[in-house]
Amino acid sequence: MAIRPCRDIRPGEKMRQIRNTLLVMALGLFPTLLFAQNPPEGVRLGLRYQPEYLPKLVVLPFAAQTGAEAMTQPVSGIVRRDLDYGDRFELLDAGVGAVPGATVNLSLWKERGADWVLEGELTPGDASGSRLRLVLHDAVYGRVRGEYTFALPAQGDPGFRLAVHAASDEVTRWATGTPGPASSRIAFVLQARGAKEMYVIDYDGENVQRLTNDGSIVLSPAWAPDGRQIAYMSYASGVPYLYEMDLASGRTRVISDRDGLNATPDYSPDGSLIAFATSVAGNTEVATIRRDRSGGVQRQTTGRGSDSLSPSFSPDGRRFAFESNRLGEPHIYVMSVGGNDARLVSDYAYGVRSYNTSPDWAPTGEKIAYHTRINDIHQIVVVDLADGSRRLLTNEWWNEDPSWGPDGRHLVMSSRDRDGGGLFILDTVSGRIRPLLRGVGYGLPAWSPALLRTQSPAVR
Amino acid sequence: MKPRLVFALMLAAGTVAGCSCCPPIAEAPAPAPARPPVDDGAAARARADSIAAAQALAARQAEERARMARAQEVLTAIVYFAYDSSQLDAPSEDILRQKAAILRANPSLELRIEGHTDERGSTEYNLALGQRRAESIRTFLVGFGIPQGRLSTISYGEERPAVQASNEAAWARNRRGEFAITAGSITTVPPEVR
Repeated sequence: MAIRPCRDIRPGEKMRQIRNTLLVMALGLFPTLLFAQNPPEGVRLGLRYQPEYLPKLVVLPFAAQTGAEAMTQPVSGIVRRDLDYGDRFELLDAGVGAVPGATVNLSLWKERGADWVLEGELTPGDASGSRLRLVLHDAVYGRVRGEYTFALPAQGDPGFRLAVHAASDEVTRWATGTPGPASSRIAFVLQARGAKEMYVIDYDGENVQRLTNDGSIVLSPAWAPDGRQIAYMSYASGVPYLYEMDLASGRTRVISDRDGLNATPDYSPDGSLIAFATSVAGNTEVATIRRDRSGGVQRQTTGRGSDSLSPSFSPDGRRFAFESNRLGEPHIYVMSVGGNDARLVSDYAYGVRSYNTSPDWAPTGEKIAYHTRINDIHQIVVVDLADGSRRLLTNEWWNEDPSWGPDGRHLVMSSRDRDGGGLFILDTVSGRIRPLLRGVGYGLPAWSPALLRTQSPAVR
Repeated sequence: MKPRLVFALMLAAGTVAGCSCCPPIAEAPAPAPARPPVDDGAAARARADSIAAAQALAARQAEERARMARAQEVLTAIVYFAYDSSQLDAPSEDILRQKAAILRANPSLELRIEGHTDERGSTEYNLALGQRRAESIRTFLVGFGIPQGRLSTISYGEERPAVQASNEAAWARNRRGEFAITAGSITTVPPEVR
């Protein structure tokens, strides 16, 4: 099956939104109401996303010094799309009258409803690269909020798009205080012709790249915190071992080849440990191993006749979330690394069937996404560990295996039957959903950390 | 029956019948001797006796082959599981007891136990479920005296369905334990195999 990135999304185009706002998801108050019990026939669970005011941003046509004119369209196109996909702004049309390089009339833009105005200029840089100067104006207060000159590699360079994405993320940081998720990629597996291979794609659907070609089964890719390696499970040797691939060289090495299962890896945020699931005395347990493989395997969970797997580290690396069927059916737990304090965080009601798996701890804080089963269909839930409240984020189609983006706001998920199936990106604040890859056989997406951050001087 | 005895029997059958793949000797009599027989009656009796013996051997050999085939079938017979369960039901336990008898009678045999699930659960959770099914089968066989070292386990989770369909009939066929012989072969068929 051919990879079909969804490039039909034009900048500014409004994505499909979740329309149903039937019920406030005050799940902290009614913990068993919506998840543990299936709703009566004919009743649909509603979603309520926070109504959020989106500041309006206009991206003026980029100017160019002699020799960089050809770069303005591709670069401004990427920046516009990044700012749209970030879901932090509503993009205004600059209009046909806007002249590149003209003096910015902020009061005019303010009258036209803009909160932010972005100016860009490209100049030829060293060697074959270019330089992108971006200036973000605060139209409301009539002043410059941030400005910086970013070095860009040549357009054909593999790092070109990433460098532009990093500039877009910095614009988002100037305006909102936190960077956007654009300088990132998403690893996933694709089933085709009886095999499952691992791929990686830019967060905006560009640059699909195949990483394995073993004709075997690859599962559960996980990114190293520096984004340079991916750990994954493969049956390439005939049995399920864990491997680590170095993305620059393509070389792989074995991380764990214990008897039985070696599955579901996750890196600690400092990159020193890999947590994974492995067979111990007939059970599947979460264990950790040092990344340099010194010191042996440390068992973390004690299931006593049950299975524990799919670990996901907290941002401080001191705790991890995992799934376990110790109560009979799978639930989500949190415990300390090296501790004995597993705490249930998904919804549980005695005697009521439930199924909660595939936890992913947000890189930015006390939130864990996972999927639950409602009426035999998987849907995405986020639990806020601060108050224990849970929010249902999807209620249409089959959605599973969520993975947080580096902004801790967007999730990538696999949706088996939504618009023909594929991988989709969900804004957990607005509910906006956009397709990343459409088709059958995509699964287990893993969103990378930020792959490039250009730190400009402090925001004014 | 001891392996050596079976081997001797097969050797004997081979000597008389030529080889195990040829038709029974009764349908292909040896060429007549060149010299006229001294005692027609005694020669005919001897000849009839040897034909009868060969026929009996061939029959036993055929029966043994059938038992071998049956043992092979039993050793690799699939066992099935209920939804999200690794419990063995009575028919599965019956098959596993016969497998254990074959493994006991053939100490060189080694098995790989493959745990599989249906597609309904989560991909990763199903890896653990498949592993638990394989372990459940191994624990049962070890309980019948088979050394753990002769039984390896592997989970394929939901990745290798036997039937490619999304309905209850297909799911029931996909929740299973499969068996592959990784070393040795069946030389002795124990009486437990029916």
